[in-house]
Amino acid sequence: MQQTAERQTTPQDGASNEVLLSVRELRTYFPILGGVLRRKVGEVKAVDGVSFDIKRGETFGLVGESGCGKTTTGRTILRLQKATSGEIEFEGQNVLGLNPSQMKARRRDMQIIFQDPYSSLNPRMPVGDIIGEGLRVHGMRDRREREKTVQYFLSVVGLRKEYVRRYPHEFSGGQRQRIGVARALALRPKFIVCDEPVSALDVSVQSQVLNLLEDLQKEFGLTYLFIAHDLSVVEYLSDRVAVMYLGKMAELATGDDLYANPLHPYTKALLSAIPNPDPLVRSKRIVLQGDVPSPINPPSGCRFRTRCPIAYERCAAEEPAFREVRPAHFVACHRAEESTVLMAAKVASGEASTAMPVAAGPDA
Amino acid sequence: MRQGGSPISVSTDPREASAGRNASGNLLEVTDLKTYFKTMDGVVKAVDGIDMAIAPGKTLGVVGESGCGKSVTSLSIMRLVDLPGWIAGGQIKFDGKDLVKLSEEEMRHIRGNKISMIFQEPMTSLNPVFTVGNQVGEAIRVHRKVSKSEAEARVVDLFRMVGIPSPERRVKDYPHNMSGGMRQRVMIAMALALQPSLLIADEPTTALDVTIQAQILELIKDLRTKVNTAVLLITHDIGVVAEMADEVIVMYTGKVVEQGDVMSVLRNPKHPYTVGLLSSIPSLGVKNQRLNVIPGTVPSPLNLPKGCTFAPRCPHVMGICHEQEPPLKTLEGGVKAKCWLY
Repeated sequence: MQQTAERQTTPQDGASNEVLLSVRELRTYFPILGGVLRRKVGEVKAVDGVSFDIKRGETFGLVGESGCGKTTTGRTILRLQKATSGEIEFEGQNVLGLNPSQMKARRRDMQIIFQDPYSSLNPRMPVGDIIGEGLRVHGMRDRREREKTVQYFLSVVGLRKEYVRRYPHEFSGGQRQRIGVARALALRPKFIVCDEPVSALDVSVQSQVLNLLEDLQKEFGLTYLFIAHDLSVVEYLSDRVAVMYLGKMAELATGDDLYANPLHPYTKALLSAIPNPDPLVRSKRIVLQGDVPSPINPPSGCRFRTRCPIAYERCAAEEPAFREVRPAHFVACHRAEESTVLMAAKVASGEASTAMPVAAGPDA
Repeated sequence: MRQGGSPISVSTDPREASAGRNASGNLLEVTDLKTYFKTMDGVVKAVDGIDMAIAPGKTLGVVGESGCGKSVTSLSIMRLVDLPGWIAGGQIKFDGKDLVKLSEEEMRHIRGNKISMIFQEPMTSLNPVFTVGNQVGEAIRVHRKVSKSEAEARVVDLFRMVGIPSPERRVKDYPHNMSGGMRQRVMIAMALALQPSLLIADEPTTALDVTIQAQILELIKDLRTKVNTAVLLITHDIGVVAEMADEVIVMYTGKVVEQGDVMSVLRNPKHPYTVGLLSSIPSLGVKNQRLNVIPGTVPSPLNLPKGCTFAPRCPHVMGICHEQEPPLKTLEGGVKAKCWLY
């Protein structure tokens, strides 16, 4: 049913670098149940054939708007969500084929920092227990040793050792997120999925946590999958950035390259939509028409075509392959080579930057 | 855009508001506004003596982190602060009237009519059991003597103006049938239904994705020029302020710490808090440069430090900062900063 060429064109730059995590054709569908018998009447294709490699020690950024499948991708990699099909290899081991006890052992290496520091910490557990729970589950039975380890990690994330006995409500948002980071670190994992770790925080605190994540990566040799909707945060932290749209990869390149030469029309629009804090910088903005289509019934061919200013007949008929248009720069767009010129012309003529998206009409 | 013009038959250009404008030519003038909240642990001074002014057709941005009092300021202007909070002092001059002194009845004529508001959460600010058309129509029927069918026709026009596709059909939708961006458009349609002279937008795009945010910001800009509405834009996103506002106010612990035109404040910030805030944003294309950090966190409003409330986090702190609160001083170029450095 798919005609992607993702398999042949696996992102791989600097082949000498060791691949820590490799994801192939990952699909995660959520069933929609309906009728009296609660039969499956459809499915939400949250992640629909995504492939990428993450190298040891790198920060791999995953961006996209709500509903694009970026969080589901992260959760599926950790098997917090059941994959529908595909392969996930971590250090050469097929994660999806592991039995529960093998998976438990593997989880020491793969941790997650959650988005919301307010709801992801159990309000009835003292901080020491929250951070130490993983240690206990993974065999550190001695209470004293556990407490010592917890205190060490509290100091690593910049909190005071005395906080062990405090409860989450006694902390501010930024401090709570530090607790979440300490919890993820406690088992000394190799790989951490950072799922929107700063989006619930104020800017001044956000930068504290971002700097902390950078320091920890160096200190503990961590590999990050950094998921966020804020492109400037992702670009700041990541070595390579992947852009997702409606369950598929739209573009993948190094952070600098993606920012300097975006090739997918969606990435172009996304970048131009970010308001710049410098009032002198006034680039012409690409305003996309309409909303993201439903992942239950995605458009035929290219999924972005319904909002794409430069879509043509082929986009509806044929799904674009995720291909290497320039070295280490992958794009899923039929017109990737000419997109820059075409989009510039659209913006200049005002067609793609209309203030009022009224013209979308009833078929939008 | 194709429909052009205004869907409402009131004359647009010389605004009624201009007739009763404040002596200084400003539409809204807030002087020494104080809004306090009573809590179990004492009185929280959420807004503690702020001044601001907006001229017709202009946009004033208010920025600050959570808890700085920016939303309470907007709620105070709408007189929507309920117990345990109250307006403890100050004036809110709008159209020559002091809103603080108006009765609830008089205030109801102003809300939604002369001043309207867009809230942060398009998901929770609409009533889930009424159609969106009904809810926007209600605003019109309450304030103007129009028939039901007339109101409905106006709603369709409004929906078209804010860029909702196939408005005739969409008015019959319930909020859950719509996406976040569409719901925010409905909120904007409701806010603009009576062509207010002041629109308060409290984090209007925070809950939305960037491409949808871009649509909504373009829409507000467009309406501002078409209807000459003044906008009070409250946001934590400095990028949004840079793009939308003429003037900006930076708030910290219930007070204004810096104020001035957008160009000066954002390009050449004076107050150490503004400087820290601006440099802690990662900006696109600038990499491998450590983010600047404002150390520590915002102090608890119940236990504010003596003197300048920013002193414990300030890199330029001096002896006097711990002793005395600095005044909001007008500097060269008209920018005001509340700091002992100047």
